[in-house]
Amino acid sequence: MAQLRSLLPYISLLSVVYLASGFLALYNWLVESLIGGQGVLTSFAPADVGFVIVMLAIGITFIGSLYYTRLGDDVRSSACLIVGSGLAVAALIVHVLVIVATLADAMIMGESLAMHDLALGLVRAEFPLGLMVVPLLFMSLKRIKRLVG
Amino acid sequence: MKRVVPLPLASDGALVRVIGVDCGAGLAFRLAELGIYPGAILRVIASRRGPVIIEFLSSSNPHSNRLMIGFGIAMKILVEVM
Amino acid sequence: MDCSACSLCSPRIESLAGRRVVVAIAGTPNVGKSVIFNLLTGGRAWIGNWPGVTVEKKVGRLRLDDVELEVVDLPGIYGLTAFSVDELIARNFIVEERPDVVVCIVNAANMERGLYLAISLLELGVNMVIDVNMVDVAKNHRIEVNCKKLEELLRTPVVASIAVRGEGVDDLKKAIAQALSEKRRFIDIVDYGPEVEQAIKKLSSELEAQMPDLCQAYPSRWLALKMLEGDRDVIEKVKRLNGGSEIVKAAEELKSELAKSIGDVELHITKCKHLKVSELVQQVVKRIAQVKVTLSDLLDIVLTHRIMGIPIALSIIYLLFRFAFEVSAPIVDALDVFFGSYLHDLVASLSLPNWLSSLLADGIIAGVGAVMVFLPVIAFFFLGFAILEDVGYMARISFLVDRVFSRFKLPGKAIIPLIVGFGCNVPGVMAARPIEDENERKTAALIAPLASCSARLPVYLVIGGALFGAYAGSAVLFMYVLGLVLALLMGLMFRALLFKGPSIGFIVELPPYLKPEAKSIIIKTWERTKRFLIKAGTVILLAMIIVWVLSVTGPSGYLGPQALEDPMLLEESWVGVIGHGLSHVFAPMGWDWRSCSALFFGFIAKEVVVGAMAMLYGVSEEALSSPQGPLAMAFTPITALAYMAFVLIYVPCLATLAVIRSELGWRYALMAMAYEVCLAYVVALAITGLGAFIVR
Repeated sequence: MAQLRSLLPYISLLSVVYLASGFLALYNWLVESLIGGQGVLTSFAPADVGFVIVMLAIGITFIGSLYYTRLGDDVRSSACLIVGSGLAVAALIVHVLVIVATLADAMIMGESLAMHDLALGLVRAEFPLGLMVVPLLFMSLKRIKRLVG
Repeated sequence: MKRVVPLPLASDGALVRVIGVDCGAGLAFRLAELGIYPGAILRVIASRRGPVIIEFLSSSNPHSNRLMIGFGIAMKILVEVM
Repeated sequence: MDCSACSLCSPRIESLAGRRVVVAIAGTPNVGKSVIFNLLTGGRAWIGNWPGVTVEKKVGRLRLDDVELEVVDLPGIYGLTAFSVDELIARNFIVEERPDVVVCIVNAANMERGLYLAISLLELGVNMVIDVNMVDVAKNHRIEVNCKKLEELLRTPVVASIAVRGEGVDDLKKAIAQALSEKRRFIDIVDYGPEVEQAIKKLSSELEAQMPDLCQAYPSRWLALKMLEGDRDVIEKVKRLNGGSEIVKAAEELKSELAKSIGDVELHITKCKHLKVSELVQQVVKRIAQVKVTLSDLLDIVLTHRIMGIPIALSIIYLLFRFAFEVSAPIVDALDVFFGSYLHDLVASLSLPNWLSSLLADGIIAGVGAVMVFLPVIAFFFLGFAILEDVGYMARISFLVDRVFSRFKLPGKAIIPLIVGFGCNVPGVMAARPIEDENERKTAALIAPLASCSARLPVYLVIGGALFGAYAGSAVLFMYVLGLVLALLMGLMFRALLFKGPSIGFIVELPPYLKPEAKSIIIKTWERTKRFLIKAGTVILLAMIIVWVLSVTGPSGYLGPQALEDPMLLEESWVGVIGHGLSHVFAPMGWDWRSCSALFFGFIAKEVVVGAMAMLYGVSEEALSSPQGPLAMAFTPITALAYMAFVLIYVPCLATLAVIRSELGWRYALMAMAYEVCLAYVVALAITGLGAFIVR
């Protein structure tokens, strides 16, 4: 439990960032699809409904972890933590696979490997945020191991 | 005075004993075959206005022996909350 | 054959050489039956349907000690009552085909379920082998099963196995060989108490006296038991024979007498069985350590959470889609280049007569190419789906959506055909099989084609690119959502009007989450992809050839392959004629003859629409999606949206129709075609009308 308390600020930070990117992407989607305007930071938070859902889901789950920690429910907060981190890392892995696939695709089609495109892929929220979650995932796995025995 | 309610009305985590099933012979038999008969003791894992997840407490490994029961059928199972 | 080197079996089963030897594989669902079946038959299996029903039947071959065994996979069942189609199939197979051995597979982590079935089978007089599978999972749950003790108590060979790792299969083969040479029976395994036992004795002696033939097929004790239970199937069988009605009456009298002393007889019998199972389990299962909470429990807290559950489920589906569509892109493009350019040009360079060259290049190779280009997307989709399935998450998704779906009189399970249908409608329709209630199953199968499959996506992208620009993504999303909404609405309509019946609801096991095993996932993905390739692939290939023929010929005769290059010439072909005919039908929507022609192609296979459009407009596929291209000229945003909706809804592709036919029959296949065409027309008209109204 003590360990979880020390993680609290980090989890809070991550939940805020994930929710923020989700809402930003939502804004971008609304602006681009319904009004036809220009989004903000669209390489970080693309106007993609699925992206919005994933970011918000992860954010909500982390908030859940904080909520249950506050209530003193160790079991539930650890559960939220592992699912949230798991989902974030899963999104990261899928995104990395997509980047690799895009590069492979460019090679096959004989198009120039734009470093620019690669940079764009790495800037998209799943990547930096996902990396930030990786250590959290390991910690939550350790907690789970102790809980489950 | 113990409460007798339809299964979905028991709260999460509650321990219940099956009192009876309010349905035709066919469904009653099916339920009995799966272990839900008067006298059986179940733990409610999750219940809401939707399917109910229950666990058989007396089994060797309750975690592995769970059933998900649709709302309609669950409402026909009357239990006593212990 | 030199047996000295072989260690496969000790008792010789050569006595069986020369006749058909059948081994049946039985077990509850989720115990790894298909993996064991695959391991025993080495993948040499024939898959079909049990006669008269849409339940899958798998038969394979196993060679043991010089004897060819026929291995039959029975459906996953919990018992042998006459209420469920699956259980009736299993029961009838055992009785009529008299398998020489029945292998009952049980889950070591859930012995109660498996042993209940095992006992039911023993009472039927089968020669049994028990395979306690998934002992590794049991170990994780801190449980050990004493197979030796179980063998003693049940008087039947018991082996342990971890099927996904291939462990224990040799022991299983040995046990089967052993059982083939030493037939055993243990019919009176359960004691039903003095009153019932007396009744059983009375009935069984009557049965043996009056109908000895019947008692050859079924144990008389079993027959008596079933009659006391009120089993309709058995009662019918007895009634049909001489003296049957008297025995049936006697059984009913005994039953009501018993009811006075022990209450409901069926309930009593079932309870006794469960008691016996508990007894066995107590002696045979040892708990090594206490388990406070499992990882599975923890995951379920969140994944089935009231608030968090659904957003997480949507996220997982989104990741599945991303994986299937975007990660497979390089392979898709590679195949496209190979078939579209390389092979195509190769054939063109050969000196063949014009028509043959065109047939090969534009018909056959283009056809194969059309299929291959979709194969990676579908394979990746199946891969992701198999992972989720093996982990056990699909059951949780059914749980989450059940509440919403029940408003439409559909079971939560009905979402699986829709999810799978987003990859391809063909396996989507097949995914309706596990739905128990017949009315619900038929409805789910009929609405599955409304899920926007991957083959429709290129059409949306091309039109979206040409007409919607930045809004293209939203237009595509709108199609997916529209499909889902229509599916639910049509589902409700079907359930309310045609497939009426109470929403019986369901009872399913909720197995704990499992670590996915690579072997199982690969086998599943491979089998499903192969099935797609064969079923859909052949249809699409045929379709392309037909399209080619219709393009190079016309009412005026043979036009030659130049028609494929020259849109003016094409207009004179059958394709053109059909297109013009259809454009009259679609006049209110304002679609030109070329687009209407493309719709005709789409009836055969949706994968073909974009290619057809390219041919009809005389441009490359890339040029189609340009905002300055021919499509932008031919449509307005409103008519384009209506067109996309039409493509979404109208007629399942031929392959899907074929599957509906094999699953439900001709009538339903035609019904699917009819309702979808009408619905598509109505929706397209509505969009056009609504659009015109709004613009004004």
